[in-house]
Amino acid sequence: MDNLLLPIVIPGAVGLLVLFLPARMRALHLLLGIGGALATFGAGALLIDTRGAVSWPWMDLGGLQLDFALKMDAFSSWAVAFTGLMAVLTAAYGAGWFRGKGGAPGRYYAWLLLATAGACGVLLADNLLLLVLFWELVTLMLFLLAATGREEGAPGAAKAFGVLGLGDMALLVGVVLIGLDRTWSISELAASPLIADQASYVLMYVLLLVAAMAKAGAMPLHSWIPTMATGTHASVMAFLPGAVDKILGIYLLARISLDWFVPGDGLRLAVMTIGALTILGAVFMAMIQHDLRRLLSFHAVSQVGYMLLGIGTGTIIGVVGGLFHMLNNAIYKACLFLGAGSIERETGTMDLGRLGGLVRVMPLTFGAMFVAALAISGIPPLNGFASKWLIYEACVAAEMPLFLIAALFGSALTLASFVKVLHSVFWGPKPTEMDGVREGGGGIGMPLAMVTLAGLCILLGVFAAWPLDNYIGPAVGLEAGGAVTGAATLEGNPAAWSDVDGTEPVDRPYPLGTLEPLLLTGLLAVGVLVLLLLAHAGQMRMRRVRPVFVGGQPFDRDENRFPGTEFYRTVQDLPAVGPALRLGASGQLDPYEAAQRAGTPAVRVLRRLHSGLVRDYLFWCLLGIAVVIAVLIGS
Amino acid sequence: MAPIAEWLFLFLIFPGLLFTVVVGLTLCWVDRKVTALVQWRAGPPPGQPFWDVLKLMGKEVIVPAQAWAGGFLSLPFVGLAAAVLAGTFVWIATTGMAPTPGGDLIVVIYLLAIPTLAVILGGAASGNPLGAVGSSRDMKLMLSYELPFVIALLVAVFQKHEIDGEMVAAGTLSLSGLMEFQGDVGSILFRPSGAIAFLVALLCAHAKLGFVPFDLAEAECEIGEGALLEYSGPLLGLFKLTQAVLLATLPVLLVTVFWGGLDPTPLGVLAFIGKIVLILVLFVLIKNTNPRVRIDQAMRFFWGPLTALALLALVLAQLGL
Repeated sequence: MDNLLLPIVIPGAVGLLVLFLPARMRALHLLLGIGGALATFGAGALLIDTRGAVSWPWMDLGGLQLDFALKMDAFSSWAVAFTGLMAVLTAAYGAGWFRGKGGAPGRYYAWLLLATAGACGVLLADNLLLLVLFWELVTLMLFLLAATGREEGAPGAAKAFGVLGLGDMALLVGVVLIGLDRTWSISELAASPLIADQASYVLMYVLLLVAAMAKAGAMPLHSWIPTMATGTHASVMAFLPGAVDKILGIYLLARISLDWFVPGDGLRLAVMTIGALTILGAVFMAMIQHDLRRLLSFHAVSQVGYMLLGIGTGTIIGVVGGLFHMLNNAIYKACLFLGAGSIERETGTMDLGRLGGLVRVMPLTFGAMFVAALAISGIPPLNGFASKWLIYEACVAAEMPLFLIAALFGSALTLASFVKVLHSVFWGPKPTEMDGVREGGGGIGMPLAMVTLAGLCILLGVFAAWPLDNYIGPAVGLEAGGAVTGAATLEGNPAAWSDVDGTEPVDRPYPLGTLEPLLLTGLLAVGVLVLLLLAHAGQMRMRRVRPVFVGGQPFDRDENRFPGTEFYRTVQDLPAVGPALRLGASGQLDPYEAAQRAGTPAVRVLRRLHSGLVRDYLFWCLLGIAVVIAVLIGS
Repeated sequence: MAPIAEWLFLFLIFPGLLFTVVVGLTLCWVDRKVTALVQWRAGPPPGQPFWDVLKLMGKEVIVPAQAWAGGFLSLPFVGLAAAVLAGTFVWIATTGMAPTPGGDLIVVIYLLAIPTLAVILGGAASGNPLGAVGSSRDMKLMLSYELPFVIALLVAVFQKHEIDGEMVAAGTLSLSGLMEFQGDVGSILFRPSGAIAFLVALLCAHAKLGFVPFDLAEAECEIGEGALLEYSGPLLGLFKLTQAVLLATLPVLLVTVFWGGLDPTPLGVLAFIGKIVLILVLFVLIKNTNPRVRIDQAMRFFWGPLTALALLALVLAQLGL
């Protein structure tokens, strides 16, 4: 057996094993679930420097050639390891979640591991049809995970399956078109990419783009994420829509835009436009949400816009930024979803109007979410800033000021939205309803997962050059340590100029820009330290604790509150912005709802045809046969 | 000098902490003096802002019982450090003194947002509902002005100019690169696009400094200093210093991006000081001739006419005007 099979076979086999174990062996479920995820991560980490391909012929169905072909290259290697890491953290978190609660964790771990196997399969597949199969497996597991354990998860799961099903269909059609036209092998396709200048190739690209957008959740195919968020386990949201679906969607987008096709200017512009609209549209929607998980899910959509924007610029720095952002987003978004899960577990609500003052009773959750919230808002020196910075520079490189403005403004709105979250969940007076809430009901697994992710937010921001230089740069064909790596850019060497094809360096009279995250962090830390010393030398030690001052009135913690839900009332009342937000919230812009509205009359017609009489059905059969015969005679 | 020692000097002494604080407090005095003259008063002596801060440093710290004490106590330090770092980068670029710049326009924009963020988070973390109202207003105000502010600054980045029959834009986010470009083609301020963008950026910087008519986040008579309500003693002093550092940074940023920066000759230095004081006096006059606006009015103003003006400037810049 080849090593490349390990990241697929391990979680797949363990997942199936867990599925068929008796439900009362809870401890074994947990053990196998976490162990399987750890083994997958271990395999991915060990294989990170392996490059190679294996292939077993499987089926040849009259032109449809399905080989079990796998290939590990500089891109899939770290993506697989990272997927494994996310599986480990989700599994560890799940252990805490199920502690002291009813419900069998068996299903959860089985679907989780099978989803991991599917995701690794997509990342490793070297045959287009095989990729579709694995892709479909992940969609199915998403549906099962979303519907497992909670009744309120059903509508979200159905919607997710509907929208993703559309994307998967587009993927299948696109892949079959490519296969019939050129080849079924991804390596062969990458060796001679299709120049997307004629209609048929543009169609193929667009079909695959739709699949990638639906998976990653770009507008207008995003609506399944918010709907699913309201009724699904937080850890499921963290693992699939938060992390793995983004990896897969953006993986496919990067592959089609870099390896399989050479998209023209129009297509790239379209991708960038979708990206910019996704950033702004989703973040505005997020700002006005009152349900924490739903708010986070809109940010999960909004962040995809940055990745689309970066990859759409077609510059090396943009693609590197887009991929790095995919990684960073998975980290902080998973952390935020997991934090929301802890809060829900302890308080039983996700309503921002009812939560409050949890900072002292849930310090670990707060710490992790605070870091992740700053990271997603792109506050330097955290990881979100490093990747957004690359995308900003790429917009300048591509001379696209409007997209740059959208990206920067989107970032400010993200920050605003998270100030509201932090304030309404953690700060302010603690309502009496929240008395008795405390952290730690879930054991060590939950905080461990969150704190690990928050730590990664800091490390990947301060030492951003390391992943860029060693993993992400090589994934887009840059030599490690070469002149055009993202790291070189970050270290103040603005040589990362390339023309839009990403091939020829362009001579520029002025340097692009510089960011030295290590210097930035170091100086900020020194500044804070020096100021602390100065203040300490002064009177900073003299402290007194007094109740807050509210106009001299006695303070009532239930009455004297300014809940976060009131934070952006002004924005909702603005002309133009307000009506647009109400339109978005009404669901009229959602293609899924539109399809439902259009579909209902069509279904009504079809329903009328189902009379239940054998006579009618016989008539339809005969009519069909007659048409077939007519066609055959005609040809 | 080793790079680390050099950076420490740059950051802590000149043009960093010590320098920006001194310049900033001096500019505060100019602000107060001119305001006093407008109001037909004598105004404070030059040392007054320094004494004010020093006095605050000697007071005790009062922590609200409902606050998140860790954040409440540490955020003023982070805010000031970030403001000083932004100031360091801007001053290094404008004086052209350091061999390797450590951050570009985007980094500076982000660093300049951190002090405001520190106030917002500090107010929210104080546990005071009025502080939270102030934070909410400050956040909304920040959203409002950041949009036209960023567009206006980007006008300088995307300003096209004809060189040898070809339309070339600076196309750089490096502050020194922007200065170099202006060295080649002349100050951006003296073009229709640049003049509009400068005006927009000036108004946004005014709001960023929290001056009247955009002091609605502090609004003493409504919400009693808003986000700063619970701050006292050294912590309040740190926020005052942050404000001073911003006052010593924002006009310099505007001069660097739009007005050619500092020419290192005696005459150039004089001209530079003149530019800074001119911008400051503009701030003071706007401040003293307008009543406070409401937050919805501010949002409409910044997202409406001002953003439209900034976009117009961007279009003109793309056309090479």
